[in-house]
This record gives sequence, C-alpha cells and structure tokens, in this order.
Amino acid sequence: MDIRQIDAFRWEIPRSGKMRVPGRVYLSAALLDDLRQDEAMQQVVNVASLPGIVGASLAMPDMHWGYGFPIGGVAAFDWEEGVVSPGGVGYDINCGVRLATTALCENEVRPRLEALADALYRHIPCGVGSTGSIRLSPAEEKVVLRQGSRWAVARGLGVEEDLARTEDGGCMPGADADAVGDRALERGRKQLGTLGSGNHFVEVGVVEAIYDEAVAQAFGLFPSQVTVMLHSGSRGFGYQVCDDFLAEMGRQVHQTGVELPDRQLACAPIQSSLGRRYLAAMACAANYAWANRQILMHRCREVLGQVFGKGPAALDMRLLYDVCHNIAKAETHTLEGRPRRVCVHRKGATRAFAPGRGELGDDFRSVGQPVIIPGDMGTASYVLVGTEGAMKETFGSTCHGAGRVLSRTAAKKKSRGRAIYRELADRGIQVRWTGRETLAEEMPEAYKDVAQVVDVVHGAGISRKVARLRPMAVVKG
Amino acid sequence: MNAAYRLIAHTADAGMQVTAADPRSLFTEAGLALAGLLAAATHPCEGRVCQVALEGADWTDLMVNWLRELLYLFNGRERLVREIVILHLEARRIEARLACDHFDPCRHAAGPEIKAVTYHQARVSHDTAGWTARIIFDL
Repeated sequence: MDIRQIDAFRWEIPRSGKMRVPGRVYLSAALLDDLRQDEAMQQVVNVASLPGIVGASLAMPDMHWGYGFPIGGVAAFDWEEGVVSPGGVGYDINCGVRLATTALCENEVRPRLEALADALYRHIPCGVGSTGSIRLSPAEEKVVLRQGSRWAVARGLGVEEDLARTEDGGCMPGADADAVGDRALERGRKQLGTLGSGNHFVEVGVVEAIYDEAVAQAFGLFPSQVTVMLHSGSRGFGYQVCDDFLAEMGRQVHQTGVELPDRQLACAPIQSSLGRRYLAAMACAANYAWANRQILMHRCREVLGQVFGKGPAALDMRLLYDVCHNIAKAETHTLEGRPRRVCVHRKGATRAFAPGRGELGDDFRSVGQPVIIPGDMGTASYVLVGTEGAMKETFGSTCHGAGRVLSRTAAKKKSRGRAIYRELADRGIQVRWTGRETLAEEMPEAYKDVAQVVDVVHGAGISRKVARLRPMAVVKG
Repeated sequence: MNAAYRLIAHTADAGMQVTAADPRSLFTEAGLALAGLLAAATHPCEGRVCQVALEGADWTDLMVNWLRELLYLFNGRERLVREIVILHLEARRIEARLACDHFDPCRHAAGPEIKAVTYHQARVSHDTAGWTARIIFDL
C-alpha cells in the first residue's frame, strides 16, 4: 500500500482504485510500525470508497483493525448525497466516557482506597449478564429513549448542571422508538444503570500533571485532585439496534448499486427511508447510553459520599464532560471555504470542537470542548481540549483512547503466571473485576502507550493537552 | 461428528475457524463453539428446549444468521445452548432444536461479553477436504 508521510504526525494514502477521497491517518513513525501486521490501513481505504464521502477517510493515532471501519476511524458523508453505515458507528452505539471532578485530594482518599474500590464494586452492576436495579416498563423505556440523560435527572439521578456538560445535552434529537425492533426494546428494559464488561470501567484517578493552566482552571482541574471516570455505552440495546440494521442494510444494499469491499460496511443513503430509520433508532440508543452513564455517575456520587462521609456540597462531585466516541452526527463543517452539512461517523473517535462552536454551551464556548481520553488501567488518562486544527482537518475529531495493540488471546498468553491485580496493587492501584479473564485481556500491555497517542494529536494540533490523570482504583466488568 | 474449531486472534475482537466434514457438523460445531466462548458449564444440561428456523442469502449469510440467533438467545433471553440437533439444513435455510440452560452467573463461568457476530471476513467454504467457517465476533 502506498502510504506517504506528510509530516511527523500525518500520513496520506493517495486515491487509487475505487477510492473517492484519499485516506489520511495521524500517527507517529513508532505507532505506524505497530500497524504493519494490522488490516486497519486497508479499512481506511475501504471506507474511502463509500458513496458521498467528503474530504478524506481519516484515522486517529489509536487506530487499529476493526470490522468494516477501523477503530479510530472518522468519515463524513454529504447529508443529501451520502450514506450512513451502522458499521461506521459500531455495535456499542454512543459508547463514551465521562469525567467528574471532586473536592477530594489524593491524601484524603489514599487511606480509604480499598474501601472505596470495594464499595464501588458492590454498588455498580457490572459483568456479563448483569442487570440493574431499574426495571423499565415498555412505556417508560420509550421515555428514556426520547429524553436520554434528562430522564435520569428528572428522577433525581443527577443535577441540571450535568446536562449542560454532556454532549448534545445528553439528548440526541430525532429519536423514534418506533424505529427500534422488539428485541432491542426487550434487552433495553433490564440493563439500564449497568456498566457492562470488557473495556468498560469506573476509574478513580488523581490529577498528576497540568499542561495548560488556564484551560485546566476553566475545567475546574487542579493538582492532586481526585476524579471519577466512567466508560460505558448503550449495552445490549445498542448492540441489537446495530445488529438489526446491519442485517437489513446488508439485504438491501444491492438495490442501491453500491459495491461493498466488506459486507460489514453495509450502508443506506441518509435520505432513504432505511437510512432515516437507522438514524432514528441510533438516536434512541445514544439517549439510552447517556441515561446509563448519568445513572452510573449518580451511583458513584452516592458511594463517594458514603465512603468519605460527605454531603453533596462538601464532595462537590461535578461532571466535567461526557463525550461519545461511537456515533454518527449531523454537523456543519467548512469544506473548501463553504459550510456543508455532513453526517460525521466517529467510530472510536471523539468530537473535539474548538472554542466558538455553538454546540458547546455557555460553560465551554469560550475555552473549547473538554475531551476525555482514557488510557489503560495501569498508566494514565488525559484531558484534552478541542482546537481549530480539528475543525479544519478532522471534522472536529480526535482520538478516543490508547487503542489495543495485543489481541485478547495474545494478552492472555502474556499474562500467564502473573498476578495482574497484584502488580497493579504494587503500583498503588486497587482493581476489582468480575469476568474470569477480564484482567488478563485488559492488562496494561494490551494497549498502546496512551502518551504516544496523545502526543500525536497534540503535535498535529487536532486537540491540546490539558491534564494527565493517574489511576488509583478501577472497577471492571 | 468429525469437527474442530480454533480461535482467531484479532486486535480488538476475536474470531473462530471451524472445520467439519459436512455442513451439519459445521453448523453444530460452530454453535457449540460460540456457546463455549459465552460461558462454561460443568453440570448436565437443564434441557430447556427451543426450536429455531432461519434463512440466509447463502451459506455464509446463513452461518452469520445462525450464530446471531444463538447469541441473541444468550444475551437477550439468558439461554445458553448446550445441545444442538439440526433438523433441516440447506444453503439458505436451517431448522434446529436446541437444548439450553438458563444462564446463571453463579453456575456458569461467563466468558468475555460478545456483542455481535460480524460479517467482517465471514466465510463458509468447502472443498474436497471438508467444510470451513470463519467468523469474527465483536467483543
């Protein structure tokens, strides 16, 4: 494959064959080496062949081999002429991350860290097959799908300020439960308020470095401050929505005359009945995920209050921001000097809007969007801020995490004979988990070095480093 | 039955390659392999019986739809398939009787959460040596 280096952080795959646009990937030379055995680059090329794609088929530095689209992929399609692809969003629709700040400092939390980890593990439903304490009636479920986080806050599971600090206010417009199949609705009724398993987690961390004092202050971050990060999504509801529409689009795609290099890229014109139905169902799943993370954060607030004997005012656990990293959104971006309505697919990529964008709301319009980048459970996570560079180059997008470098099988092999929880405990990190192989599969070495990933997006100017967080306690499903 | 499967390493996800002498064995082994990935059981099958009938555009599509259905039974209905009897099988249709357990995290050792059976690189092929299916799961 012809991959040309543009500068230290940018590489281009020139148009060839059926590509409608070039590919552009954001990588250091070292990260590119990690991808030599991977099919992610070919997937960037495949996405470039889809109808209506504009600009370039993009991939962020945490990119790796996905199915259909690469993980870390970003692609924008013309709103009138382009397509929407469930595989460009992923099964876990609106999988995302939220970060809350607290008034607690590391020295207050460290002595009670084990008790905190135990309490979080007891109160946050997690693991395969876990169900929450919330049981939705069919009618109430449809309200959740329409209202997202607002549903949770209206029931006392959060505060109004949380909504202003959630992408889209925690409620994607256009949600229509009539577009959702019975199987998804059935699965959704019993899983609200559950974390899930695999790479989903709750992480108590501490701010260990500040790179941009002014932005950190605007975000309410200070050194030694304790934070709480959540990574979860739309659970079985979202998986089923994606699965149902991929199957339906796969059956119908031949009618559009689109030749797919990979059946997982099944798509439908945005303006077709099927495309519109998918977007309406996807919005339901997005709202389900926001409600889910809102409930989970409320449970964390309760646990921290109990463990440290502090009321809400003293704890001051405030949501910094909630970002989704598996989504397709209608946005307006400037292309060749003109505003253009596009459907931006971010699959394992995060919105990173610059200051001035109306979508950011009053809290962040002057400073830029907070971007939450989780790393592996033994190293670090980052808070970034959106930049004008992202608006110009990546449809306002950046990376979403460290990105895997080892397959789960390879990680398990590497962990044999080791006690991962003990290694982490020796580094001051308390871990609680459910799945029999979760810790092995999620071991720190299974992921790229998140610092390398973040250095690329910072160096390329598509987001800027604000702070680094060090994990103290992690709960995994 | 003469069949076997092996796991395929994939950066973020996982897959399996199943080989068998004939299509009935292939579909049976693929179904049981998926069930084994979902959860391990050591006790005798509870014998909760259900029947499925599915269609596909070709062998590959039929295999994806078959595994999607078994995955839905686990994720959506808490049914872990323990035994499979294929009642009818052709390139575009399968009918099978399944004996299942009710999934109970206290009695079954859950494996990684499998979100979906993908079409990515999905393939059912056959030659003089037998039948092969390759499937990637989204974890």
